[in-house]
Amino acid sequence: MLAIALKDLKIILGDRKALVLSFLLPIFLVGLFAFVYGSMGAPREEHPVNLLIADQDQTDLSAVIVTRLDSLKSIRLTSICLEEARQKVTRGDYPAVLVLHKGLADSISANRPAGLEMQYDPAQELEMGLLQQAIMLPLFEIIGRPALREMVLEEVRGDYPRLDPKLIKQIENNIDKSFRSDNISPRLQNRNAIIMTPLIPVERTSWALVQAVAGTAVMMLLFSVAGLGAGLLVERESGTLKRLLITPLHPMQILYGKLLSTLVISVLQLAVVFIFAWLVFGLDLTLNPSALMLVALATAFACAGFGLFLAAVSTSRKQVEMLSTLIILIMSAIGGSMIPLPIMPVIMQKLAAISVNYWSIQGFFDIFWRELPLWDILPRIFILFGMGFLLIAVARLFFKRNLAGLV
Amino acid sequence: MIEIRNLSKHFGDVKALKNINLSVQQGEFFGLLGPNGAGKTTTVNILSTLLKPDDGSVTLNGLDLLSDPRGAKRLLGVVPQELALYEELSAADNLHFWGKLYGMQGNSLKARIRHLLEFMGLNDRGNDRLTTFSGGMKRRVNLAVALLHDPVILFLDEPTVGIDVQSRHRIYEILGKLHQQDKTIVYTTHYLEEIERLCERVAIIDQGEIKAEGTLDSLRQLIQGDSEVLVMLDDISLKTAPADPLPAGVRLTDEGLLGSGDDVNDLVQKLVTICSARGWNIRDIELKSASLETVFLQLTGKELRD
Ligand SMILES: Nc1ncnc2c1ncn2[C@@H]1O[C@H](COP(=O)(O)OP(=O)(O)OP(=O)(O)O)[C@@H](O)[C@H]1O
Ligand SMILES: [Mg+2]
Repeated sequence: MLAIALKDLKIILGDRKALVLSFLLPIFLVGLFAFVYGSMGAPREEHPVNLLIADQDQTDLSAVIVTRLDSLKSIRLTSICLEEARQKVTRGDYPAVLVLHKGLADSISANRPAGLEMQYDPAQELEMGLLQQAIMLPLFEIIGRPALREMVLEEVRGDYPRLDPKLIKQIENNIDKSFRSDNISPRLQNRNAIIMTPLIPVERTSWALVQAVAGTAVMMLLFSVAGLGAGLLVERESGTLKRLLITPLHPMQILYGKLLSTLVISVLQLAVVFIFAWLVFGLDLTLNPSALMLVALATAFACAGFGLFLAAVSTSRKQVEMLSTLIILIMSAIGGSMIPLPIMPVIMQKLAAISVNYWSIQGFFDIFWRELPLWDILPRIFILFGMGFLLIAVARLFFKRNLAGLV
Repeated sequence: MIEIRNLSKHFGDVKALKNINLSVQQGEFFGLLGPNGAGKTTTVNILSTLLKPDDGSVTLNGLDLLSDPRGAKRLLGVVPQELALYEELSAADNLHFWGKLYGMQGNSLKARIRHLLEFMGLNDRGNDRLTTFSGGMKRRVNLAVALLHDPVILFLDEPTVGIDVQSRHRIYEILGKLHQQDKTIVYTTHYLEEIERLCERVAIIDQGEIKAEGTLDSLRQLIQGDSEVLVMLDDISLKTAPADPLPAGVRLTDEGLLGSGDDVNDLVQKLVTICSARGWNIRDIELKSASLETVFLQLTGKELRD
């Protein structure tokens, strides 16, 4: 098994041209995508945006706000406690949580700045834009009216302390009648502005850089393991597989030997991409080295499993080419390699979970962007390893079944 | 040594082997002669545990191949019909790799590799990549790999296809030495000269059936009355000889023009005419007794070569 791996590595490392190409290509693409994504403000299509809401006020007014926002078509609202909400946003599951602070109703009737706060993930810039746009008017309809009323009444009371309560009531009604949400004075707007609090410090690693490096690295890795996976078919075409089967080796050892050599090359390739990103773009590799190594290894493992799967289910190199191109492009497209996940339609974002790309890219975001501790990244790592094992199991099955046809 | 009983194998509708029975003695050089698609490779594949037969049994040295394939694998060395080597690696690296798979290592493996490279006459090219090797040299490496673990039984599936006469003769020499080392050898080919030169006993296989089996002499005795004439040509003529069609019953061999027919006089005349018409220089003329080719023709009703 080890001998097979060593032999493979020798052949792979011996082919200078292919080697240079397989390392230059990802570097070129990383550079390109980093540039493209860095200067992007692409339009997006319509779909409901996820928003968490943490109602700490628990008054009639806050209930009205929740109901109103929930009725909006452009928003999918989830009520949740603040603690949990912050976690979900930090992890990148949701773009933001709208916090209705305790005393919201009071502060409005007391004409103090309203206790509205949006805690958000700056990575989901586009989501945020949409969210703000969607909730602005409904919120002011609810909060702006009483706020305006209080503001006017306060002045009226100050000027005419002895005014008839009946008159005040009438003024109130007039205000309500003439209030139009699309005609809010800047003064009122400022007073009731939502406090915006990014949950992730903005000075962290550039989001675009992480996207470019991780997205491209995984996609390129998939392509390169497809080539290596074809190695099994090369062995078959060159007759060496037949000879391998004549040796005392167990047939499965041939498969595992292939897996090992693919794994080594994959890890090397990831290392090259990340070192390049560090040298050229200043990606900080020291943030969480153990998590970085584990995510990289898990990614390499899942990709190597994919390569093995391709080799085992295909019966010719042409097939590998076709199949790999197809699967890789689909996985990369939905998994966030080609298009950053947040700007994709919701259905696609859900589908993303079936791709290797998704888990790997999110793992790298956890490390470089969300700066999560290893413990919180472990689930993604496990899923990547799980995908690898699943693919290998399927590969085994096919290999066993095709064995007689291989000679 | 090798006992094959009632061996059958089919692929879909193709009956590749039909009830084959063969036995090969210890130390024997046994030839399996047959045209394309006769079932030679299928037989070798079964004997080397790559294929499971539909029916029948094989014992190697008393060991049942089907129930103990791993044990059998240690006994046998196989030279596949196709080159089964890593062209990107050197000859020594190839041998090293395959040796490791047979559990060999360290100095004993190194010594074995040195010995085999020498045995194959390749010791000065051992560290060159196979891509720089000629076809004949690659064939010798292909053979060396099969010998690494010093097997007692050797299966050679057309080990000389596609190489030039000189390289072929080198391989014959090597095989002769292996025969002297008392290896049991099964050799498949569709070259008659090889059978005549190398083998002690031969089986003729066609369409998955054994048509005849025995020593060369016993097979030749199957037919009478036919004669053969070999017109030997000089090297220059041989080299320039194009492969354009020759009249029926006449063919070009390594040595010259070989014709077969009933009447020796007619035959000689015919061959000489062909040579002078093409400007070929005759070196010698030899009369031969009935050849295997004729036997083959009579048994199978077809020429060996397409
Ligand atoms: N894997 C396979 N699948 C289907 N048919 C096969 C397979 N292997 C061999 N055959 C068929 O079995 C028959 C015997 O083939 P085999 O390779 O044993 O012939 P051979 O004597 O080695 O021929 P050649 O001189 O061309 O090497 C042929 O008809 C061939 O088409
Ligand atoms: Mg064959």
